[in-house]
Amino acid sequence: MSTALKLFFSFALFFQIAMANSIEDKTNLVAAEKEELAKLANRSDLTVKEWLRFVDDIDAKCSSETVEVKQTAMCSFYYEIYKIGELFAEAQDQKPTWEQCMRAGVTSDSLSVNESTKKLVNRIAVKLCPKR
Amino acid sequence: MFATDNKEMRSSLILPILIFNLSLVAEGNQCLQGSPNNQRFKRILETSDSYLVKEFRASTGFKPTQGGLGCSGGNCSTVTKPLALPGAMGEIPKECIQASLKRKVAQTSIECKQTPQGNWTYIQHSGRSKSTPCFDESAVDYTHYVTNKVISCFQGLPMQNGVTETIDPTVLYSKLNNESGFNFTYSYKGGVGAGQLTGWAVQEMNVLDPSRTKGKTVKGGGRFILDNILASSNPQCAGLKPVIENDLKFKYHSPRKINCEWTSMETGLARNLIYSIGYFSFLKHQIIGKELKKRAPNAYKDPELLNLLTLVGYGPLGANRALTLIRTLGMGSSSAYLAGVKSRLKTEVYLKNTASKMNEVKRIAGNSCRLL
Repeated sequence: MSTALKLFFSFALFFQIAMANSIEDKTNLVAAEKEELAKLANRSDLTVKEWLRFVDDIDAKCSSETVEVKQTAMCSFYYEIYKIGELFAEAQDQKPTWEQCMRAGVTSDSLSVNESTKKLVNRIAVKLCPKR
Repeated sequence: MFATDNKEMRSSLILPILIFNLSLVAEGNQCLQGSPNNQRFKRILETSDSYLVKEFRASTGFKPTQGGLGCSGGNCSTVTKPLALPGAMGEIPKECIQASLKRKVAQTSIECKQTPQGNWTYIQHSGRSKSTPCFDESAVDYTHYVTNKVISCFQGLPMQNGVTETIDPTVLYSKLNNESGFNFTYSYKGGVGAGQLTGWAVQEMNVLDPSRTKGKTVKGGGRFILDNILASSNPQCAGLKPVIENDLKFKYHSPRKINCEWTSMETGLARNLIYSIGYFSFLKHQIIGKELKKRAPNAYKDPELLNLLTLVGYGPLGANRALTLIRTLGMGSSSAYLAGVKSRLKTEVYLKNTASKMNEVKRIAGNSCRLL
């Protein structure tokens, strides 16, 4: 293999690792929040009130974050979870219907940019929504 | 004497040779895209019993045409008959559609054929295929007719929250030019037809995938738009109703599975545009507009900003990106601040791609497309 080719492959590998790290960094910016989301998704006694408090908390972090890249990651995370929060917030004292839950679920999934977040939000929706 | 005979003979030969040469030029120019040997579109326009095709024939005085489009030397100008659609400012001119179709886009396309029983069969053409159906002037006329019919039907259509829809033809043109260049046969796993529809859009606009709902029919969040079209008294919606009136029965149209529902000339083009424009309206008003109104009520009143954000929603990170930008860019109310936000939005991937494809069309169309 020629030196030029070796150099080319080294650069390609370096670039690939740098890209992977960059994606990883972005994920880590909301790692604590995702961990909290996972805990909520595992709870069998999760209430609507607790879920709405969590969504509001992420909303506030999205507004208050001053570092641009962190704010982007936090706000993007907020919009992955907000539809299922909005569904219950708009229903107020009444529970949303099963159909409303299904509808919000599709919109929520389409707004998701991370497969694991999507799965966790779906698990929470199943816990809080009425059964068919 | 012989000299005179030669002269007469030459004169008598000039005309036939000229006609022959002109016919060759016309033949060469006959198709904006596709092969002159595949006249599927022309046959459909001449013979189809589809409601929309019949309406096209009746209202435009369609006659089988021969010859070229006169679309050479960077100038696609042709004589365009006005279609008598309401709100001329809301139209995408034929010249613009023609110029878009001249853009070279190498994509898989679907050639649909309806059996006498009404079922669809199709041929899949690769991006390099030389035998796709010919897009001649009549096919451009039909695409122009259907596109503007759908736009006219949407103008003033009630959305939720007391808002009525206003479609900006330039915004829609840039979107369709970017998505498919108006070739309604394009199809790949990431999107189908004129508006490059996705499964998400189809679920929002009609009914959810039954695998999510245990087989029960659940309407999507944007289904009210189709219902409003069906209930509309706007005469421009009348010809579109037969296309969508039975869609609820389809349960879930997966654009990946039943391609001709989204790519056929007879009904696929119209259905695809109704769903695509409908999904654009859904995102604009129910998702992005709703959030913008909540976070920055003054910025919400700026239609250009709302359209730009909605276009961002079609980019690789979807509507999540548009919503995130509402928060991270901040939305001050001064016009200078909003101008800065708009400039920043124009650097987003999808909007940069859209602008570059609009520049491509500008080079092709010269001055003939008044939207550019």
